[in-house]
Amino acid sequence: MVGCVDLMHYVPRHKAEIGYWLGRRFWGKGIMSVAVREVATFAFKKLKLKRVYAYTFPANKGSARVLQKNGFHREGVLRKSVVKKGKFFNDILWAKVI
Amino acid sequence: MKYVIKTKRFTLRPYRKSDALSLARNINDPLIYRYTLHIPYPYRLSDATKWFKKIIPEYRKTRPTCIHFAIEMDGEVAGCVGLSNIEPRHKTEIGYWLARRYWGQGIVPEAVKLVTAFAFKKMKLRRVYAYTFVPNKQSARVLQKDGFKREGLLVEATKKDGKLRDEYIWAKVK
Repeated sequence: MVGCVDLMHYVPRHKAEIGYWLGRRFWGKGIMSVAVREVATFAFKKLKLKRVYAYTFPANKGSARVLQKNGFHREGVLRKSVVKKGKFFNDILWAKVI
Repeated sequence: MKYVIKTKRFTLRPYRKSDALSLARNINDPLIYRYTLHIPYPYRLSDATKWFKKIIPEYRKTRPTCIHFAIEMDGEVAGCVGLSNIEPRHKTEIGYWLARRYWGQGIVPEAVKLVTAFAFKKMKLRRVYAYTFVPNKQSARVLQKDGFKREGLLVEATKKDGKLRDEYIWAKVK
């Protein structure tokens, strides 16, 4: 196992959040773009979801790129919406709707 | 923590079991149902008692997950401003409703302003956020008046009457 794509906060026939990580030595090969594409397609086609959404840290350009390549749209920036190690960060919200 | 805020026109205070009747009477309105997600219509006395079982124990907790302020006017529960999904020292969602006969008097803007200030000052939160349905201009106005900023439009993010709806997310941060 070199990484993972999850669907979370699953609401049947409606929506789910998508999240993912990949071991660093596999970065830069387009693996995550394909993995996210396949899982999103699974969510829409098999699970019959209408909306798949994701959050990224503003500094995480790589993750944003994965979503953009897969047709996710940026819906907004949620200010100070996450805490990590006692610090507040903005959260960028992305979604793909069919 | 003491959850009472008094103003000239109304009092914000915790719900009590004895509010069931006035709550059920004042919230039972299709126009309140229309733009909210968790308020049934018709609203029965049993909906009020079920609701109280969920929210009244929270007032006593040191880390409550929700705090609902009843808006008391003329001896009745005329509305509510609620904080939900509270994450201690971080954030909370805010929501509200008001009996139709009190609309247009600036009651909700005043109440939301007070509860938001309470969330920042007393509860030490850094973010208060709200969702509104796109056509609900009045609710958006309430938030704008208190300095909430629109952060985004969530496409088909919520379901109402079996239909998917878009919603705005608003927030005020400190």
